[in-house]
Amino acid sequence: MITLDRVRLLVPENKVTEVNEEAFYTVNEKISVKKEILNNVIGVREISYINNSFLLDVSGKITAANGNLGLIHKNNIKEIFEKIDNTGILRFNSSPVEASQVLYLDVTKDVEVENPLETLTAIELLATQRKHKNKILDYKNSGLIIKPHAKSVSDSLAIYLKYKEIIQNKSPKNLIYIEKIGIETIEKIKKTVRLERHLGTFKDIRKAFKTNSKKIRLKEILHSKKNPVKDKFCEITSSNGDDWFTAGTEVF
Amino acid sequence: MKIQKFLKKVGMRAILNRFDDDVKVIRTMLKIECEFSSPSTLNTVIATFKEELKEKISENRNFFRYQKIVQDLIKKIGE
Repeated sequence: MITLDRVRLLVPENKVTEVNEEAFYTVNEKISVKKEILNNVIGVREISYINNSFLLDVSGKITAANGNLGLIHKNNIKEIFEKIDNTGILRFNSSPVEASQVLYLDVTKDVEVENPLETLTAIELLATQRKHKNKILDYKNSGLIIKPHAKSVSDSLAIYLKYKEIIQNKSPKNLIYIEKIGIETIEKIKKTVRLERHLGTFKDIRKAFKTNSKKIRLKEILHSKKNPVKDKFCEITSSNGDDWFTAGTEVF
Repeated sequence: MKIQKFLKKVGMRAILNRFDDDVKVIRTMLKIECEFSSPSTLNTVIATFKEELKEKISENRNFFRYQKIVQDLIKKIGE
C-alpha cells in the first residue's frame, strides 16, 4: 500500500464551502493561513489560495496518535480531510479526494532492521558505486539523502533513522507531536529505518508511478500498485542489474 | 593495459564474485583482454593482479555482508 509522509495538494475551490477569512493574510499577493495558527495544528504545514484552488501542504503527522507515527494512505485520507475540516479554517462540501491534484509527494516506507547504523553504512557503500549519477549527502543528521547530480531532477531518496530524527528536533510543534505519539512509541522505533522518495515535479511523479495522467490525482496515487520506494532503492544500490559496472556484467 | 583500467572495465563486483585461490578465471580474462610478450610476463601480471585483488577484498571485507543487508532490506520494502 502506498504511504505518504507528506503531500502538497491543490483542492478546487468548488470543494470548499466555507473559509475562515480571518485565518488568512496576504504577503506578496499570496494568500496564506497565518503561521501562528498553523503552529497549533500538527500535520498541516501550509494552506494557501492560488489560482481558484486551495493549496494544502499536509504531513502524515496529522493522523499521529498514541502508538502511531502517522502516515497518509488510502484508508485514512477521508479522516485527514475531516481533521482539516475540524480546524475551522476550511470546510469541505464533500470529500475532495477525487478532485485533489498532487503537486509534491514524499512516498514513505518504514522498515524494521537488525542494526540500523550498519544498514545505513551498507546502503552508503553500495550507493557510492553510482556516484557518477547521484550525490550522497547528510540528511537531518540522522541518515543520508541520495540526490541526482542533474538539477532538473527533483527525485531523491532519503534514508534515515526515524528515532534519531524525532528526538533531535526540539521545535515546539515536534514536542507536541512526541506527546501525541507517546514516549513508548519512540522507544519502539529504535530499529526503524525510514525511506522517503521525494518527488517534486509532475515529470518525476509520473515516472515514479508509471502514469501518463495529465492531472495527477491524489486518488490515483493512493490506489497505485507501484512501489516507487523499492524501485528507487534498487536503482541507487544498483540492485536492478541494469548497470554493467556494478552488476559485474562481463563486457567482452 | 593497466590493471586498474581492466578492473574498472569488467566491474569490481564481477572480480570479487569470481575470485578464488586459483586464478584461472582471471587468467582467462587477462588472456582475452591483454596481449603479453611471454608467458612469464603474464604470470607476473597475474601475481600483481592477485595481490591487488587481495587488497581490494581486504578493504571490502564487509562488502558481501553489506550486500546481504541491502538485499534483505529490498525484500522488506517490497512487502
